[in-house]
Amino acid sequence: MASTSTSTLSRKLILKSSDGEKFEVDENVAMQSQTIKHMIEDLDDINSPIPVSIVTGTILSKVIEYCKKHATEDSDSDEQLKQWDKEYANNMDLNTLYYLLLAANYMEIKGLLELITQCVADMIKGKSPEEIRAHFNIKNDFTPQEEANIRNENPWAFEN
Amino acid sequence: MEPALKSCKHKCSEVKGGEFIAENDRMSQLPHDVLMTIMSLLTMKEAGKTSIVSHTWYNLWRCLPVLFFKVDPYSTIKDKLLLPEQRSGFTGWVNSVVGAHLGPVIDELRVIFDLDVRLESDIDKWVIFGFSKQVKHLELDLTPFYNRSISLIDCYTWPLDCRISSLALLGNMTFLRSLCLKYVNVSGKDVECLLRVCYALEDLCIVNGSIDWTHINLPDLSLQLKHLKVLDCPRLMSIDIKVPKLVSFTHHWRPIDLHIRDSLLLSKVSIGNGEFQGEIVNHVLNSLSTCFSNVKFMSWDFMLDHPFVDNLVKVNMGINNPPCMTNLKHMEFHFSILYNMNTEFRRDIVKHKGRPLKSLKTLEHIGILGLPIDIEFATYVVENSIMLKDIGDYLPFIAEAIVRRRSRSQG
Repeated sequence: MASTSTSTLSRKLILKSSDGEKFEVDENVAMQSQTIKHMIEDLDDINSPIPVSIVTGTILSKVIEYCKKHATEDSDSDEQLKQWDKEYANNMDLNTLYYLLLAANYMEIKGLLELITQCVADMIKGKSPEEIRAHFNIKNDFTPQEEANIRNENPWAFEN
Repeated sequence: MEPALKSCKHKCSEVKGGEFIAENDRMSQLPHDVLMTIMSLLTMKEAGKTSIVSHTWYNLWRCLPVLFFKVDPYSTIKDKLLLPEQRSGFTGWVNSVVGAHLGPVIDELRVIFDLDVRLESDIDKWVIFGFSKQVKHLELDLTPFYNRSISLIDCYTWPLDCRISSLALLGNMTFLRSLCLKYVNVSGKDVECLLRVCYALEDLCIVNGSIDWTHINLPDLSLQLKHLKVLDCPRLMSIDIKVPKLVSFTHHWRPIDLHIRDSLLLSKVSIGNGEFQGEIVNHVLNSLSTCFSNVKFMSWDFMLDHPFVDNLVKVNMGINNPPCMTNLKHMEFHFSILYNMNTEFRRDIVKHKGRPLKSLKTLEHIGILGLPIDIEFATYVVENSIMLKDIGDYLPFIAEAIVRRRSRSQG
């Protein structure tokens, strides 16, 4: 690629969300997405907007916020970056987390995917099955008999 | 990993049937791979709890690619007398998870609990289950709880030689990348068979096992091993292997006949005596001298019993005279005391003319006894190591020794 040591101004790319919103970002920010990285490699004209088809503008702006922070990581210590990640994830509601997971998975942004999956896993930890259902709004589709059977099959999971 | 998960997804969606997903239950609608990643971040107990959340989660649980069965004895089993009961509970747990598993492959199967030969038929099933699912990382850590000592005869015996004979399983063993066996009896024949059959095996760790493991003798077969760790295998006499990719080697116990062939990449060596009380240093240095040139990290672990104390001097001699360890960057010592030792050390001073440790940069000394010999020795290393920069949390007088040395060299 054209990133030489002399060019401190990196190239700009335009990302276009599913609802038509456009975002101009530095190439090194966008390249954290493996999907976009592959797209650019096949692209002749990098000035045309790159469609990020399944991600809405609201979510894409949050994804870009994450990528920007992690593109300039040398300004922060690992500790500060972790703190930032934590606050970033804690400020999301469940709905946003869901769409962020879809976006990170589709765009193949490893760090973001790890951050959000960990965040969801932490929500599951320490909760009883009933509390997990309530938290994620999951409908219990077992009959009482089915549920009792599974509990009996796997009693160690339900001991404290 | 991905293809495996995808095929698992296929299988799970078959099972799922016409389930109903609440309209705003978005999490259950995430791609299978993402849900699996989330599940993999949970302990087995936490993942087990999700199994009764809904059908979707039950089926996810049945496809877990990482099966890690571990119970911390000190938090759950307060009373030693309850151990037999806990064993049967634990065994039942593993059996039920293994029995319910639907995924065609698993990445990891780890079983960590105080189990012995009485549970042989169960453990056999788990090992066969693992291989039938093309397991990549297999660990059986059957270390007895509460530091109980156990006779090797009572340890579970690895089933390869006598009880696994299916050719199909042997074929599946080629997926194995790492194997760790603790308190499992393995024969030399088993280890050789594993090394022959598991082409992809990179990491092998055997701790405290083997009634009749005396030799590994595969000098001609070029192995993929990167890490080899053999601890406390008292009957072992010799290892002769060809390991062009070996990076780290650990051996604790009595000196053995060592031929680590073609190991040009070997950079990390850890040697210890385990409970064997006798001289080990010179022997190891001699047998490894040909592959020491690239060693960057050297760790010595000594468990000292009273009669062995005299050997400290020899230890120091060996360390002072490392044969051509020209790239050594970090050296570590771990001293621990076996049983109740009378700590009256003889004050033998190390003043041999050793080779200077030209490239040594860091030195760590764990379990320092604070005795004159420690100080003499450390001072020796410091004074002979031109590049030494970091001495860890070493005692202040070592720092003083450096200052003294510098002021001497300046004056």
